[in-house]
Amino acid sequence: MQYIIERRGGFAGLKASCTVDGDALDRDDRETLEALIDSKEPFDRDPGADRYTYVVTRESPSGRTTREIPESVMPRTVASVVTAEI
Amino acid sequence: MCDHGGRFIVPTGVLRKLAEDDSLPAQSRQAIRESIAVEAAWRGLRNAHTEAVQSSLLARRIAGLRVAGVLASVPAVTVYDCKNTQSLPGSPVSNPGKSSDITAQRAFDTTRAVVDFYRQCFGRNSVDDAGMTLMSSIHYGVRYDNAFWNGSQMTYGDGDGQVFTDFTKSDDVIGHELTHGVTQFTAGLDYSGESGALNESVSDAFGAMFHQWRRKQTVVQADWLIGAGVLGPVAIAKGYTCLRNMAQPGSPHCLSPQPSQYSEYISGGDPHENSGIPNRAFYLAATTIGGRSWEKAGKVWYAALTSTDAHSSMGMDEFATLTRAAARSLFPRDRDVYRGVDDAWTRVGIPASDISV
Repeated sequence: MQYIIERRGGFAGLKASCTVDGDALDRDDRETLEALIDSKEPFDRDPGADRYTYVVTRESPSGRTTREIPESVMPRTVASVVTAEI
Repeated sequence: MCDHGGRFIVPTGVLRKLAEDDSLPAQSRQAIRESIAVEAAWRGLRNAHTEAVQSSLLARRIAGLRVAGVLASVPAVTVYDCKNTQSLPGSPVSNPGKSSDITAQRAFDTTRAVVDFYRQCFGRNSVDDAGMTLMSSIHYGVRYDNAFWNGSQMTYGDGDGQVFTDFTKSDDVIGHELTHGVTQFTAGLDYSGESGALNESVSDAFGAMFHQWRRKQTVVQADWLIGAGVLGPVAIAKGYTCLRNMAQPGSPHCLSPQPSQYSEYISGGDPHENSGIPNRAFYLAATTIGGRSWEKAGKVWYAALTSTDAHSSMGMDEFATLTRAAARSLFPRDRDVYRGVDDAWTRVGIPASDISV
């Protein structure tokens, strides 16, 4: 299983992305990410402006699932693997 | 599990489900439970404040309150240190204007200067025009490449040191973030579609004006760049000069090039992409009118933003109409202002829909 993580927004409006293997993530963080991806209700965006939003796609043998996740609930260590390429 | 210092705006039902999920660590579940209660209180306060100001409940009483000395004539400015966590607001910095931490000093001094800018140029008392305390949190996160307004305060990261440096280093960034507060308490522009692009553009326009005002620059002397001071050595070495350029939104020297014509509008795009269109309109209006941007073009944009006809889902053509109307009503004897504003919008592809406006 792997996750394709795209970061959008921020003051710079600079997109950033990465692909990470599920096994490379901390177990707790991966479980949190899984719970967020599988949650039935949509997430509201973070209040204010210039916040990051993460578009996370889970790829597994059973298919692909994509969720938009606001910065405030994204596990920090997962968010930190995304870097902007210029 | 993540640090839960940030605001949760996840549906409460999802949070409750996560809080009861035995597969999550106990510490995480407890943090989620606490966040459910905290978030509800925060959201209630923030929404009540915003709605009260937007509906003019406060505005009607402001004159009397000012006379009575109830409102602060100058808003308090406070700085907090997140110490590289993502827990807001962080620890208070005592006497930030004289702090040995240059970031604290810069956040304090520049925020106070933004207060002066809005008061002197537009007669506005803080972001809510009611003396709201302006709170900034610095050193947010680890190598955090961003600055944001969270609906209640400003937050600044240190940057990764490569692409970006400390986000307090550009005064237009600080002006930009505080203007998101002004927009929240006035037009309340939604953060998506055309209104989202306008929201971002208004912040860039007033951030750029603030930068020029501090340096007493004319529209010709100004560089019209956004975020030039926060670029790191890697970005500079690659030839980038800014994040955005209001004069040339599509310039390859921008880290985030943007469309500059309404015909190039990106459907479903990020507000930071499509803001290039109204950004260029403001640049064209200000440079055609001439002089100093905040004296005429800025007053026109401010009047549109604070107009009773402004609304949260406003599109670019509606905002353009408000600026055209403001140019006429604010400068009835100076026809060059209207002509400059009208010509600017027409040149980005938003001509006047009703010539009688």
